[in-house]
Amino acid sequence: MSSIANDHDVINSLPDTVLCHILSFIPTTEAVATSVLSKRWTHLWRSVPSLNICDVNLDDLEDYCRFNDFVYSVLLARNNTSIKSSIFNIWYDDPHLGRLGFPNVIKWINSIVQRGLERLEMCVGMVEDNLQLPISILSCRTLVVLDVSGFTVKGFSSVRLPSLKILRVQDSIFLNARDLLLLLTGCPILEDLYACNLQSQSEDSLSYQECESLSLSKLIKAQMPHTFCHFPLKALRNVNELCIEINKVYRSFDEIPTFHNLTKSKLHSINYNWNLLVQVLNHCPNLQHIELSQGTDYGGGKRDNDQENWVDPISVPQCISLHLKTCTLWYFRGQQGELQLAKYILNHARVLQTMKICCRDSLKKERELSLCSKVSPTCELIFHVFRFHKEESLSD
Amino acid sequence: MAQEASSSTSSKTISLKTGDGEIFEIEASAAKQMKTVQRLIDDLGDDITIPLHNVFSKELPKIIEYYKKDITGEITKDFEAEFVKDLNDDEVKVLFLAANYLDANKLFEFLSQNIADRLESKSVEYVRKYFGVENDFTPEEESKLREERAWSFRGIKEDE
Repeated sequence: MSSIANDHDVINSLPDTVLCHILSFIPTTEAVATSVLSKRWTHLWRSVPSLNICDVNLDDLEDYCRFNDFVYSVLLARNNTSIKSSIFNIWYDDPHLGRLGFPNVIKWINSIVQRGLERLEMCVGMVEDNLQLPISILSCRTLVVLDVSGFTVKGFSSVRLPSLKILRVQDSIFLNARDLLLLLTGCPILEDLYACNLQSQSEDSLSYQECESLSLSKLIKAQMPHTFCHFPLKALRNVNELCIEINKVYRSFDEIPTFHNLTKSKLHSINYNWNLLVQVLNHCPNLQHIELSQGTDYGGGKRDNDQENWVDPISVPQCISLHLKTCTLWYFRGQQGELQLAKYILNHARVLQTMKICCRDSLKKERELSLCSKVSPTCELIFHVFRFHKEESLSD
Repeated sequence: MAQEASSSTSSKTISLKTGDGEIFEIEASAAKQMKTVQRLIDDLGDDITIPLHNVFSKELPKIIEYYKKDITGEITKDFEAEFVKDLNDDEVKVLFLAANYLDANKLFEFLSQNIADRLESKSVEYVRKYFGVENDFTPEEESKLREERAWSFRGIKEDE
């Protein structure tokens, strides 16, 4: 029976590849610093399969020069191990430094996308303006995960990301809705999409052909909060989970597909378009968890179609009567249509467990809804009241 | 003995014996995730208690707990955070070495990230101790290296 191994001996005898693997998760500056641990470690950092430029905030020229120098030195000193994952998190606090420095970032990106890059996270910005996303990223054949934020995405004519499974784009600007579609068309095996706060510079809608051209058959999860440009629902028909600003992305001539796999959905920006809401619910036969809101916040002011009244649908949507377990109404203002919707769901959702209503300031409507009949015997009605700086929950 | 088709091992358990003589049971589907164990099963058969000389009774139950969750598809970020919450740096190191020995890829990846998180911004001396590294530089050699790589040492804690 072998004696209990001495941990120090064992960990020190780990092969270089294992040590490099651990180092691949830390910022590159720290990986390079391991060169002083001992003579064995002097050159280990050159084989680390990642380039992590993290939390760099540049506001003076000397800092900027040293930083630039550092990254170029690392790229030149590295050996041929491919860079599998990379993080670029840089903020230029001075627009002059940003304009000077960003072409270097583009060169660094161009060099690593050719070397088998699989994961890329980029948040590079400067005061006063968005920088443009380096387009060499959009034809990186090996990329599996892409996470970018704060860019203007333009100047590309084709996208080839055949290995991409996870795409996260946030706080970015596109020229038009067509460009967003073009980006997604280049990701045929995409499984997870997060497209938050994407703006389009043009108000144009997509054409019918353009809507038909996008098919994301492997997509399981689509979250598009605060993205308001025209987008084809048909492309999202296979998802299990969906979050979308429904009345903003939909055009009246668009096809609403049947979402067979959809079990969890957040529909925001309904804007009292009850007809659309009912149509969508009719196309989600297996929906179990739903969150709905008319707008996107508690902000005051009139919303479109405030006077539109709810009309009971001819037949109860299948998801409501058979599957709906939880329902949350956000930014509830107690408008007549909203009340009628809440009552309709309480009256018809046979397996509903929780109805949660989130409102600002206590409305007098709590009593009205509490008294309304609930067809589900196990249904709990919860009011979540936001009072400026405090939150309160009142259970039924 | 002839190997059965894998479909018949769905509820089968395998016996593992640690370096300090204790025996633990795991499901065959969990054993499949540990390539070293699977290789031993392929060589010795699945009816024999598999000996694991370099894994001990302190860490094996934790590893089994992880893979129990894995085969039911229940591993989430929350579970992983909870899994390492009460472990100190040395305990994580021991688990990591075991995962490496067992060739248990998913746990190995997760613990690599966790060790990296724990070591971020720690002092050079701390990292040396953690990896059991002997400093074979002279003070002059070390300070020369540090000067050359000055940008790298900006975020790193100074040794006490």
